[in-house]
Amino acid sequence: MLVLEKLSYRHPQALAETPPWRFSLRAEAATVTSISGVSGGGKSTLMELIAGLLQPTSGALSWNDQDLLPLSAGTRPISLLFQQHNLFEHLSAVDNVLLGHKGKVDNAARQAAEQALADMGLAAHVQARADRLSGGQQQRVALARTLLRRSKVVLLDEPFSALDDDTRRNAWPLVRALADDHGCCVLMVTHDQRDCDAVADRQLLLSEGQLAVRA
Amino acid sequence: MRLATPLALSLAALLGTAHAADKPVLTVYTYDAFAASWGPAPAIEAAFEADCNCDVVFVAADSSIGALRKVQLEGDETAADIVLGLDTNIAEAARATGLFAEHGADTSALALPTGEWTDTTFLPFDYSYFAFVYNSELTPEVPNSFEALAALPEDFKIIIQDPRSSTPGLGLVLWLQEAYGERADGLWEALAPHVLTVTKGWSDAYGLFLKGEADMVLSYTTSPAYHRIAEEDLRFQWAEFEEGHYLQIEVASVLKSSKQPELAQQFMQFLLSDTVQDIIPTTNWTYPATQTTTGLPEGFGDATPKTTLLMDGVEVEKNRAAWIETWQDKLSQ
Amino acid sequence: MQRPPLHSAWPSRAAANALPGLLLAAGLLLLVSALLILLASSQPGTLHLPNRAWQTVRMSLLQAGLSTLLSLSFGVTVAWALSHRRQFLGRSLLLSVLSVSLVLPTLVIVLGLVSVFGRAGWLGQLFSALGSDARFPLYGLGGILLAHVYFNGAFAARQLLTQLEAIPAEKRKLVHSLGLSPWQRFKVMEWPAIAGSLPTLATTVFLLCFTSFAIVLVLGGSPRYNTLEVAIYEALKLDFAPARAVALALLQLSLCALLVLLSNLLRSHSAQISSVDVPHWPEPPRVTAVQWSIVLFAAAVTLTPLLAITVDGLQAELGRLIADPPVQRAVLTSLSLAAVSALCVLLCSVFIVRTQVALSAPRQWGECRFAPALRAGIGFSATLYLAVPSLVLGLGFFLAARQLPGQLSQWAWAALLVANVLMALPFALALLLPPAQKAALRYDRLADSLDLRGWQRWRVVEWPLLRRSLGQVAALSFCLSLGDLGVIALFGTADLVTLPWLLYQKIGSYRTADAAGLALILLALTLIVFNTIPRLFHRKYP
Repeated sequence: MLVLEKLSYRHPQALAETPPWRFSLRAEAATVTSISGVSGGGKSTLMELIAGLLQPTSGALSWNDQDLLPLSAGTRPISLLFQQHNLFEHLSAVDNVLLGHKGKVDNAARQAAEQALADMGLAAHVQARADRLSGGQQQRVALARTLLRRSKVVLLDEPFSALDDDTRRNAWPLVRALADDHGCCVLMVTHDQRDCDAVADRQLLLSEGQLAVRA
Repeated sequence: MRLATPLALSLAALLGTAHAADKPVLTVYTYDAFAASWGPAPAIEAAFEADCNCDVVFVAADSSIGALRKVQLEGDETAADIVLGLDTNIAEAARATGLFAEHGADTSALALPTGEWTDTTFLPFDYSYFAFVYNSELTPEVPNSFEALAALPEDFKIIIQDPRSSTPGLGLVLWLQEAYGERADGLWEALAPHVLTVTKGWSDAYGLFLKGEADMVLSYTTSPAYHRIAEEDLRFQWAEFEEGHYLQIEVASVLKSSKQPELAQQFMQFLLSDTVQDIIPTTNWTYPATQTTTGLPEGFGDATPKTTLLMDGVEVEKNRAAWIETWQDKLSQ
Repeated sequence: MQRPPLHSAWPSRAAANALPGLLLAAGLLLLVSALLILLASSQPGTLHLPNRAWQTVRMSLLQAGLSTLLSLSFGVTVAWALSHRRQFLGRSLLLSVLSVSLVLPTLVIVLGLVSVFGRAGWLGQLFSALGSDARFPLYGLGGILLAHVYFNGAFAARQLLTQLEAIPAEKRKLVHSLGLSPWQRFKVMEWPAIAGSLPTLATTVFLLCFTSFAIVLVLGGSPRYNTLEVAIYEALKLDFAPARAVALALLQLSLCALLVLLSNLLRSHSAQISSVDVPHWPEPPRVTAVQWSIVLFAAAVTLTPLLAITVDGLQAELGRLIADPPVQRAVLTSLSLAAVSALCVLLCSVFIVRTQVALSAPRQWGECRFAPALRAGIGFSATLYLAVPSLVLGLGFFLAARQLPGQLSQWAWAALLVANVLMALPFALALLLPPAQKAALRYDRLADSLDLRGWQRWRVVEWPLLRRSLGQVAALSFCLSLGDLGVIALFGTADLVTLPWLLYQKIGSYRTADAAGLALILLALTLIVFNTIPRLFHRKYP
């Protein structure tokens, strides 16, 4: 279980009188939690705090009772996906996925990467250069990389907002599969209600740093 | 708006400066150091203008060869009446252009180391000898000939100039050629390890030398005088070579196309007057071409080279390209 | 992709974007060709090459190739280290010094290098103090490479740093959250970000080294590494054979043209605008140590010669120099010339870049059949100006001025301005083109749909995105012209003495201390300008 206890952060450019944001949250493994809210409400900040890209000023963060705060971003069991720029354009799909592999890249790793791509329906595009893939395919390559990393926590920051409706609908089952088949704890930031309804077990609303269960 | 002021200034400069139209203008093309505010030009200009009822304008090119090339490019329309500062090594090339007229001056006052002067086109106004200059504090022992220099350990370094871009550089090639004839090639080969570097012009070479990069630099016998007189620094000396020293005589000449040949010839004669000849030593740092009543200022020293070397200009013109070619070969090995 | 409906005003508008720059580029090209022809035909003689030309070319290729390789390696390494060491005292000074080295007069820098690396230099003294008589091999290939790396490597570092800083923040976050090693990070993120600009940068550096004159002589040790420029000088000055000089110039131009062509084939389109903030996280201590060592090394190499110039300069009687009317006049002349020239470069490069963008943007001329050829032609000719010998250009101008009415001194100004524009244009285009293309790609459709045009479009779309780059262009062209000795000496007009020329005159007549003082003044002016001008172009927040 992912636990945030009063994880606090103060934006460097925030006005002096605004109080810092304090996030508290619990999310079980094998579930999808959606987080929505107005722009500037702290959604991306929350993601980056969990991923380790921002340092909180106080509070606690743990996964299955393991304290995550001392760990650097690269060593946390967490994958983070953005709206775009998730891939290195000049590398092939499989090489992008292999970036999620720790240690020496051997045949086994390569096979695992190809399998992950196949799981994401990209078996035909294993060797394609990332910038030759469509937006939806690129996002699926990034998801395949989270599979290879075996990250137990997957943070998705507006993963579908650059995609057209059809592609978006095709991606929903993939997110579900992360939780259902791979046991991941998925946190998904989105501003689109359809995403929440389609994949989330639980819907949260974030405003001014306060998380609330959506009524 | 911040750019407005410099813009206005440059516009003002663009409009140029108009000369007073009523006086005749005598235009003298020369090299930059001669025309500089600390060079001989300002004093000469003032002295000549005092009773010629004319306006003297010195136009500075980057070098004396530059001044010559400028006249050549301008052809008959050149504004120049006089070209001043060529040396005897390049004078023959200048004569071949057919642009120059008789100087018409009385040369009896000349007191050159070469004796009588017979050239009626080019008029000498000062001279100096090429020599290696050293700092006696850093380099107490110096060679007394090219052969002695070649025989020294290789860490004794000299800086010279490229004959293709610099007058002293060309002078050195001619110096060895005149002193050693056929043997010059072999000597260049022996000197090559001592050459720290070859610079584009005298300035670069002398700048490096003053930074202590080499033991000796190719310059003039009159260079130490500058340090003695202007800086009261007595450390700098020139090394006397037994073969003798190559002479650089600077000459001036009137252009055929000049619109006021009489005024120009008047100026030529004026160049040999005591007035000009006394200005020259401490502004151009060379020897005057005549024996003036005042004589050389103290600090120039009494000693001049015992042997004077000078090659005939026609000979230089004929062989220059081949000698430079060989020089390049020997030094590049 | 549906095609946007073509506005009825479209052809005339696109033409209005493309035409001024096209005319300008064609005009410059015609001018340079005309000058070459004028010079070649000024005296009898045929276009033929001296025997030694090919040998010269061979050695120059070697020298310039090595110089380019070293300059780029220095540039990449230093840019990498600086992109990770984002906060330390003197970083901004170091950055401006990196850009400044390219624009200072050669002899000033060379004497600065000699003060540090020479026989009696600081490094030598340090070695002596440590009991070693080892010396840096300053004369020979080593010295040439050192000076060329000093001039160009620093410039490369500055340019590459901009590319590295333009990496999108998401990419950095991704790399960090994947826990990639510094080497992997370099391979997948940083190298691709700079690789696109390397061919252009390499071409520029190569051209500058291939046509180097004073450095290959003063530090070359022997005539072995002479470039064609030296032979051109000999042909023009000593032998007065303009036809031979033009033949050599044409050889130099065609070799360089070949190279520019090759690099154009390699060039990929990297169009990036610097990101505003560059997120960064702590690095492993070992990596940090490496980065610090590189930064310290770069700082030592680039700053010490300038420090030497400063130390020498402070020994001059600065007060007297500054009060000296000829010095004041020279400073004023140089500053006004540089200001006008910077203005000209800005205008020219903006128009030419507009044309380049119009010729590549899909919504303008991008789909025309002849657009790629025109585009390549413009970029090609602009880069080539680096290979036009300034002596040839100057003499050509001089001849042209004779045919034209007006005083020579007025044409001297025109010649200087054109020479300065030609010199700065390749750098200006390299700085401006990528962001301009990006702006067009991103905002052309929006701007068209809002019917923004002409001045308004420039103000709303281009200016905000390009102002930073324009500031750099202005500073670079200002300083290039401030430090240029250029064609001025050929004209020999007493009322046109610039600061670098005065400096050379002083060294040329034993006045070394004065020259050192002037060098310091020039250095200070350049640094001030380099730091001030870009600020004038920055957005001012209330």
